[in-house]
Amino acid sequence: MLEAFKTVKITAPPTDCLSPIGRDLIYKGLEKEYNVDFIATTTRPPAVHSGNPFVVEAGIAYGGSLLKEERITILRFANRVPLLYQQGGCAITHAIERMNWRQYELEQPGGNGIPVGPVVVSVHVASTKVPFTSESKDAIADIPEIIDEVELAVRNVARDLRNYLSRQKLLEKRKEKEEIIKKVLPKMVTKVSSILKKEEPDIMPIVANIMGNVLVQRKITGKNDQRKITIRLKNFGEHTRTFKLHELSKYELVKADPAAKVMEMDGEVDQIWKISLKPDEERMLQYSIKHDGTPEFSMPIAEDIDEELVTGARVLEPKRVEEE
Amino acid sequence: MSAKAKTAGKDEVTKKELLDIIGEFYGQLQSEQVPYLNLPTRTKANIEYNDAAEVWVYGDRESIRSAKTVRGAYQLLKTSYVVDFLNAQLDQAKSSTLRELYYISENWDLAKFREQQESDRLIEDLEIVSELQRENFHIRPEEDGASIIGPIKIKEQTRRGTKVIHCQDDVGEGGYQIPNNVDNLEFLGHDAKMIIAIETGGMKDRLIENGFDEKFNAIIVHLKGQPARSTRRLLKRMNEELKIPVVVFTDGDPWSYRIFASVAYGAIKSAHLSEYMATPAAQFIGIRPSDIVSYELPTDKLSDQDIKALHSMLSDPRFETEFWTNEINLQLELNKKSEQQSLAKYGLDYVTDKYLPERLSEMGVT
Repeated sequence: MLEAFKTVKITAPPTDCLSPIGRDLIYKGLEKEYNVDFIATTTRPPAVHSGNPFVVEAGIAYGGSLLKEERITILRFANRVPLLYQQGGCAITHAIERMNWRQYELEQPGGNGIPVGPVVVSVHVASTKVPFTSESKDAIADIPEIIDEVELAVRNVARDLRNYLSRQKLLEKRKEKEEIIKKVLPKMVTKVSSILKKEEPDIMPIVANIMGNVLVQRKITGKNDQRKITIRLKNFGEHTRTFKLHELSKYELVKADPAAKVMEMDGEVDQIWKISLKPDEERMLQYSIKHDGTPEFSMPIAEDIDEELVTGARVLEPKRVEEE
Repeated sequence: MSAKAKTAGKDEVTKKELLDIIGEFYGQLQSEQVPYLNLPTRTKANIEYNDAAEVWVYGDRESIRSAKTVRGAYQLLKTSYVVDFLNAQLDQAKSSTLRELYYISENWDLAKFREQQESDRLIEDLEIVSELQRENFHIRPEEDGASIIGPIKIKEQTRRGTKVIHCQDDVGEGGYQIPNNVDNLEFLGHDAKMIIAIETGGMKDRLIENGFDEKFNAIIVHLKGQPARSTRRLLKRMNEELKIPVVVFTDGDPWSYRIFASVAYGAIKSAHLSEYMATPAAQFIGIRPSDIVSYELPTDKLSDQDIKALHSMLSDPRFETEFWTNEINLQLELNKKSEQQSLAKYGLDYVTDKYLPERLSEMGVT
């Protein structure tokens, strides 16, 4: 019968008898006490141990001036009172120790125990009866329900931390790529070409290659009063990309291959192609204009695609209103 | 490769090899590839024994240096700048030192080297890729002042004419200073029975003061710690061209065994030049860990770094012989090391009257 009770969903116990701190106040507390880069907080739904309702709340703070090489700091609270002694004997500590912190991007020597990193974890247990290990009220006893709830609460905020860290990593990577593309590569191309006394190759395809995105490259050939325009598209990425390409021109068009949807606006002609490119796929768009001399063009414009997924084209700000 | 390097006296060949590297970058850029350079991995896991030359050279493992990473991109940029500089230097028939190259990079903005080690390494990379030597690039090392003394007559082409020097009769107490380019030397004659290469200056002076070179017809070569390329090349030439046996006399600690290894087997850092610089016939005299026991030498305790180095040697393929495995394990067990000069415990003449003669006849050198 005991087993059956555990599996049945019962209405949550009354919580008006409990006084949690609240996510916002935990956030403010951590913000005030520590100089950090990131904070996340959570409040668990109420649970019951031996007939006593309880609520677990947790907060996590990362980075800033916290020490990277030290074990993380654990702040324990029971019914809004900080627990200062016997950290090693407390259910809160035990819940944190048994977690696998490596999946949250923190170091954990040996795979268990208190992890290492610039982190503060704060846990509050509010209950009508907090089961302390002794009269001194220094540590919470290892009641399975409490340990489990603490773990769930800490996992909640640890997950937020992991998301934050992986986002930071992505930004870092993008910053590095930008450094290569904007600073190092142009200098190298110039140097290499000047040593060999050759013309500088177009850097755009290599930029697209490094960024792993779609290259849009326009070439103009032809003589007399006709100019042939070739727009080369190549997908250097790992995913299929679908978007629209606009080519604005003020010159008289002869023909396009493949055919484009043509729209006139403000004396300019807009040719629109619908493009879908698989990884490594390459396509050519061609058309001719009647013009004698060097024609002037603005950059091709890409629509319905993220800015960082295209090299060599301006990306149209999404204006969803016009669509459909 | 050494044959190619030797015959590649013409700067034109060097220029072509260097420009080929840049040409490759250019080709990669033209074919829309992110620039890269393939290099052998320069670790102890990637050196292998070359049966023909009896030395350790780089194996097949390669690592790709690509501009896809920030580090790789900077290294390739710096490579381009260095080649540009070397190219101009070859055009003007000038030369520079490794340190000068490092300072010249001050003007290279993004391509500036952060420390000299970085530019030194890049020159080594260029040696490997072009299969040439830095002398071909007109890059010199800093003078390191290693010297030899002994019954050998040498003809040296110097910038101030040809000099003929007898390395015993025509030199002072300091000996004959080994020049940077040993291949300009010609051996005119000798009556040496052996070459003894010594790690420390103190021990070299002891042997000279005790007249060891005269008594034993020995050429004394001062290694001055980890020996310079010119020192190693000279040892190899004297050993192979004049058929004089080479013995190496160092302290009894892991760093000294590495000195011996770089003389006899080739160094990991410059394994691309092993065939040109290593003397596979060189033998190790000591101090051996077993000497610490048998001669009851005064000792120091092994430091943490010593112990780490000894352990790392146990996984170094160059030391995979019964002799070295036993000696290294014994040393770890003793937890002690000894210097060459600790033999002075038995008096200043002990090393030349007893230790060396005993060991040399044991090894069949005298």
